[in-house]
Amino acid sequence: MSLFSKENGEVFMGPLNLNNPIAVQVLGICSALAVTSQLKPAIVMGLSVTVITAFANVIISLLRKTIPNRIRIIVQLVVVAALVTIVSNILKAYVYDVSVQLSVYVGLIITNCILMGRLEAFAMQNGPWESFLDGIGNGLGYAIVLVIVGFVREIFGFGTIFGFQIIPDSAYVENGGLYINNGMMTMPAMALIIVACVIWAHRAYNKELEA
Amino acid sequence: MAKMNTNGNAYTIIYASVMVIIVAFLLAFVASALKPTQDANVALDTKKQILSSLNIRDLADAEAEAKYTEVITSGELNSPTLTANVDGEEKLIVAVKGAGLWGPLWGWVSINKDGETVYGTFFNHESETAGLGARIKEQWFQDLFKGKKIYQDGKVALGVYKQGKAPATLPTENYVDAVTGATLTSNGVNDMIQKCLSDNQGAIEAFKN
Repeated sequence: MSLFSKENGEVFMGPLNLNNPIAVQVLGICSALAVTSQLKPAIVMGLSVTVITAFANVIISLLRKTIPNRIRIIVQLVVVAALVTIVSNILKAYVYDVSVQLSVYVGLIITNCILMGRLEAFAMQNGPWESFLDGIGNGLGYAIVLVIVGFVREIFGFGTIFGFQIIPDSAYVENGGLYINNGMMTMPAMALIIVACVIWAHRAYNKELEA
Repeated sequence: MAKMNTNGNAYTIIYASVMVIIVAFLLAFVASALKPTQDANVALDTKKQILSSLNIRDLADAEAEAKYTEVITSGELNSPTLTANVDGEEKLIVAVKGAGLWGPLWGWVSINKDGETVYGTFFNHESETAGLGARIKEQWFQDLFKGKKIYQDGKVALGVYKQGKAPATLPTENYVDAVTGATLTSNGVNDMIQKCLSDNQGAIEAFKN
């Protein structure tokens, strides 16, 4: 089977759209709420999950024939926990400010249902290359939704994008304008509402998802 | 080669042990390899926070390092008090530590040479509510303290009160308004400032003379 066959293309593209882990499977919601109040942490979180899912998938896929069936979940957890600890250490060393913002949520990637789901449902049955694509696909599928939510929350909650002021200062009430930042957007509850809107739009666009 | 029985007890135990040992070595290696970089980041971040209390904010990493060496004249990152020289004027920086609603609060209060008025402040928190208590980290709140008086009748009186809730005998130059919707965090800031300034009253007196 060639590396970029049609099947592999579907393995990669599926989670980006029709099988999106957040929009369709509604997994990994908790971290989607917690880290999306601004765009930068949302992107770093999305990339971290992508990297960890891809590598965990590859490692589990390589080991899949040797893993004792009775402790397979433990083995998966150990692999994920090790990768998460490494990523968390790298973030602390090279993007300290972002790691402060993400705080405990990097560690909580261990409990992200997307990871365990992909390991158990995909990597345990498939080869390393397919598993790698599946991991990247699912991670990016998750990242896309995080970025959308982070974008909406940052621009309406803070009037900024990546910390740069987008809404002009003169538009604010303090400076004689008519605009006020929406404080609700900075609250986790608003992330859930935006995720719901994303799911709504996604379903309206993809008719085949309608039950 | 006969196919190994991957479900036997011995195999399972050996597999788990080997895996854990490999992972332990790997993590120990990564943690110790990255430790110096991480410690440097934490130290630099603390320096930036201390500089913020002197109203020197938003510096790039390299600038902050140089500025810190230039401005701070004595004291370590974790000392209860530091001294600084900003544009020829001496300032005393008092470290403050306390508890907010959800977790620890900390910060620094810098005091003018008169030993009476606040030059600048910086507060930080670990896990206060975003948009409410977390706003103590924002500049507008910290700037409220500029020029406020620390003492009333020889006792530390500088505080944070809800609008209209300050003691009637306390002049407005002695307190700032609390963050709306974040009473408990604001009370935490209040207690933290009063406790730590009182504890360091000796140092403030010594600095004044």
